Amino acid sequence: MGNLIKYEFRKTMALKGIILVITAIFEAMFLIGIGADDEDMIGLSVGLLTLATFFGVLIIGVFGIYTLSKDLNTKRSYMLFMTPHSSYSILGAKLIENATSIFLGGLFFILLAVVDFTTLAAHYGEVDEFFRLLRMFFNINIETSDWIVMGLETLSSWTYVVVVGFFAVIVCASLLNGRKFNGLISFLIFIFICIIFGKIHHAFLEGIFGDILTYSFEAVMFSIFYYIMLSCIMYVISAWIMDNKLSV
Amino acid sequence: MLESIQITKKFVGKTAVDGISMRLEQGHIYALLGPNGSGKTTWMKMVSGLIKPTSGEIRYNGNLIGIGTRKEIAYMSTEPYFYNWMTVENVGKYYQDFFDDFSMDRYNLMIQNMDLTGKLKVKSLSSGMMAKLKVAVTMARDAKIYLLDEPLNGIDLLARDAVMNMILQAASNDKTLIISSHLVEELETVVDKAIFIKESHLAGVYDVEALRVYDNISLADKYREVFSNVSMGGVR
Repeated sequence: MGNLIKYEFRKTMALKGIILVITAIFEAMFLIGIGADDEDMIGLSVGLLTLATFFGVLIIGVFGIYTLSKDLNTKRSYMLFMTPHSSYSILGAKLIENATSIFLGGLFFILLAVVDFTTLAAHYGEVDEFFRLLRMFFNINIETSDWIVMGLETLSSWTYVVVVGFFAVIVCASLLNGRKFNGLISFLIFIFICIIFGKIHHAFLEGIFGDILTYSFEAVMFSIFYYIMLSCIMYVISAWIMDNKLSV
Repeated sequence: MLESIQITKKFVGKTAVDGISMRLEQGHIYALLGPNGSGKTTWMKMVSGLIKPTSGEIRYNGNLIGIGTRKEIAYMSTEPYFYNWMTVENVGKYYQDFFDDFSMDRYNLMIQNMDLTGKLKVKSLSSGMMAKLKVAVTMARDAKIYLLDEPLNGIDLLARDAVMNMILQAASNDKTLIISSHLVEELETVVDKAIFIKESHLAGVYDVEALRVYDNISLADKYREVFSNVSMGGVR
């Protein structure tokens, strides 16, 4: 399975390179803005870096689904399905690559934001104030464990969305291989499942915890469990369909 | 031994393969012959496990086609299927990573003989160069069954000889080679059995030597007889 994961990373390398280059350009703008004391440029670059963070992580997730679609609906599918690996391994490798990329991508952007805000605060001579605010934010408002579970919830919910995307693509490739509107039908299945399981999630949260708008450690833990369970179920069903029904 | 047992594949509105049963023995080179759309490629893809049959089954040494049999069956598709970012060298490394029976030394020798270089980008290859690459990477495996779908497509006359030599070098008593091609005359000199598929059905499996000796007919003329009912008089 190690080799499968290696090649999944290789397939997404170009995209990650592009995201990195774009981020580097915005970061350079930010640093030039600080060096030149150009507040307009600083403001613009912070806005662009925020967009790069949001879309960077989003695109990495969506690209995993796109790659699977290409791997099932084009001739390059032979590269995977000629190898002596089960669909569970093939899909598992894709999932591991995607979850790892989203995690590392998210971590990269968080670290970059911390470095940039520290630089900004240092430049304007407000480092102490910045760190005081940071300490206040971390120590008073939210516990470390809360940060961890919120991070895990984000990762598990993202992974769940990607698995649903995988499922929709696999169902379409198995039943509508190469036909018109394959992509559109995959997207509709994806939206339909997300809505249905989203409503069930809300119903559970309301039924068990009452107010779903207020933060609760238990509610977040429940959500993590819910997303992981759904991801596992969808993964097993998807791999079974690939093993038994998919022709490439 | 490879057994195709009442194997059928239906697509929407079309039956690509219809109840084909046959046994292929090791130590033979089979030509898989039939007009376009007769079901040759679909049958090959079912043997390699890429397409799931609608009914029937295919067994290799008693085992159903599946993940285990992919270790022993090497399939070469007629269409290019490598990743766009790959170089000729990357293709070899990919096969080395996934197939225990792949020999990098043999691969390097073959691509050298085919006038290919490791640094060439797959997406920049001409159709002839791509055909050579596909054959080289497939034949660099030490598989038990080779399924070669139109290996001579798009290759010039001289390269054809090199490709056929490469294929023949893999032939041995413990292997089965199945080659589909429209170039019946080209195959006639190298195969010893011929499988005719006509309109999704098996039209017959023939011993090429027996056709020549007992029926006084060449493989090409047998092809004409089966598929167009035009007799060319045979080869005497």
